[in-house]
Amino acid sequence: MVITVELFHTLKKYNKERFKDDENSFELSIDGRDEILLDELVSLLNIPDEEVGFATINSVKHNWNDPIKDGDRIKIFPVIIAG
Amino acid sequence: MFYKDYIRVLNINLSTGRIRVDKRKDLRAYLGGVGVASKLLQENMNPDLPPLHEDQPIIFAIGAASSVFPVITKTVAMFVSPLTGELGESYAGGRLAFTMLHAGYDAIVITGKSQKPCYVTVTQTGVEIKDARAFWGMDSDKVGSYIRNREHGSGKRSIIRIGPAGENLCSYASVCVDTYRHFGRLGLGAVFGSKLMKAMQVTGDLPMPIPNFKDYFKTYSKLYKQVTETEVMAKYHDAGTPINVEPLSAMGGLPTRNLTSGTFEHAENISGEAFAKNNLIRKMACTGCPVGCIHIGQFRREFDHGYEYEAISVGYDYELIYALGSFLGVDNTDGVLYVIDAVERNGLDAMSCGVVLGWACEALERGIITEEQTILPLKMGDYVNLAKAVDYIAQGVNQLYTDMGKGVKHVAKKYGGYDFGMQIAGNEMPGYHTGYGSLVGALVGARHSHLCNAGYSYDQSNRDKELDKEKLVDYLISEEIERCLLNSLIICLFARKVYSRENIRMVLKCVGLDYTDETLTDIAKRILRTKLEIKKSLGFAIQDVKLPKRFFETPTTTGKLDQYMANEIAEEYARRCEEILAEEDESIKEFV
Ligand code: SF4
Repeated sequence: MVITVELFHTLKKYNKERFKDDENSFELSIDGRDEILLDELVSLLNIPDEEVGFATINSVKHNWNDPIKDGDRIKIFPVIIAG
Repeated sequence: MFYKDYIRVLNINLSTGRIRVDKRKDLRAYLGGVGVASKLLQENMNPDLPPLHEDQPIIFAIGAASSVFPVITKTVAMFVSPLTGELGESYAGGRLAFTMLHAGYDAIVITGKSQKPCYVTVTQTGVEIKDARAFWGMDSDKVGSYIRNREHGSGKRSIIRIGPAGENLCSYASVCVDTYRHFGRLGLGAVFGSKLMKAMQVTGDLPMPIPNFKDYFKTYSKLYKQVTETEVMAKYHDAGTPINVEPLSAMGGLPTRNLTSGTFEHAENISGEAFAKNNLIRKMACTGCPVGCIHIGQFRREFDHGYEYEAISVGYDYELIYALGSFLGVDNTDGVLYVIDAVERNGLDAMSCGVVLGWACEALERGIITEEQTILPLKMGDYVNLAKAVDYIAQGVNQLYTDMGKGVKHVAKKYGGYDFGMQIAGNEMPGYHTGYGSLVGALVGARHSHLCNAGYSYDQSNRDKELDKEKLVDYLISEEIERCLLNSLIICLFARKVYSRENIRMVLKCVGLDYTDETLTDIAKRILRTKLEIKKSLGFAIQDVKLPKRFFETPTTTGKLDQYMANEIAEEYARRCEEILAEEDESIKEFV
């Protein structure tokens, strides 16, 4: 399966090598799977749990154990802090 | 003052012109900042008089370690709020704390009322109350530059001032600090206006020797490294708080169109990235901050026909974008900046102003008020007319706009639409519709702000779990107490993760205060107790708060909320407050 992953701000640094030039997102192919859980994806991308705030699948609200399918677009945001 | 066993308080009476400086040893029990200011407010206020009575005081205080450590930059203002009628507490960065420190004052208490419009200049050698008749009526940016030109001295000075909204006693008028920072919430600007005080300039040049410089430098370097190397701070420098817009919208927590929704379909157009791409021209920092989260955006405004344009620069952050963007259905960055500029010029609190306008748009649509009253065909997204309405509120052009200047609770009670006038205990809602944490947190928080106890943060980390009432109340109360400590040093809350207890103790040691963790907890509780006492004396009771129904109709990031559950959590919190109030304060004796 191939999905598109968009990482925001501080989360980018965990996947620096995957980004091309100025792009915000990258394509990720995961061999031998038809679907993967959001939780699994976060670990696969080596992002520490405590840094992840929100994530969406195709711009829609999710649960951490929601499945991601081929062609989906995932956005992962860092935690929200106000001051 | 550093290495002194007292707090130096400057008292200014505008009615009599009398100036007095006190050295108060007893106030050390409150450490500094919000602690000292709460105690001074309690001593100087009169609960039986209205908030804008001339005998009500304004208190400014800086923290126990102001300005000499990274990101310890803020000044607290305390007063009786004309918006809620109870505790008024607001924070601002800029240069004020730095200049108060170098002028030699830990706190300033202003009482009385000037006979004619005045501005006050404060230096290490004295205070002058000067004629401001020529400045009365001026926008807050203009008056800043006039005073800058008229008064001598440059560099270490801070000018704080009000715009027309404060002069006209709008209940949520703000005080502008050094152009891009504000005492925004709860109406300090109106208290300035009620005293006919247009501005205050503080200049300071006193040296602040640090006896044990080696230790100080070691501690400073350690903290500087932590501040500049943490990811969170990098995030604030890069895109700033507007980074919150997109994820909150995606998860349904971004108050949109008067909270008829938690998702804004144009969130991407007003996101941190969009502002950075379209408008960002500059980043700035408060004095003493190596981060620099203040983002300045520029837009072009046509001021006359025939291609006559001017470039306008205004500061923006998440709260402003929520209140004057998604909450009002404004779907482009230029439009949001256009309304922010109107709010700035007039000197109003952006959040309150946005929420009041949200009510007005819906009330007009529903026929609760008429276009004759609104003068303009007010509607969501029409930023040009919304900005005009901001001018009308500040000027109080007719009865409706004068009422709108008293806050959404007032206007919704008077005209109707209480259930969609989005306030919490009289304060207009913050930009987080995330769950019980954010809603009840603002209800029970001492100043009804999202920053009292960061309930939104609890919602975020517990959103997949079932609600645990006890745990939420524990979280809210312990966060509220800890923030009393942070705000007595007055650390910018963006850096609160850096200022752990261990680091706080190190910092205090460098300025001559060697406290145990236990002592610090006692001080924090003492501060909260003082605030609760003030609130009680002003007649506030959690049980009396009636929340607008819409909070329970529009789903949050954690689903729909239940009114009874929210009340239950709030009541449990109130019970815990009573316990804190009843606790014996044994350790205060150490300071007397
Ligand atoms: S992080 Fe921002 S608000 Fe806080 S002190 Fe620095 S510049 Fe000021």
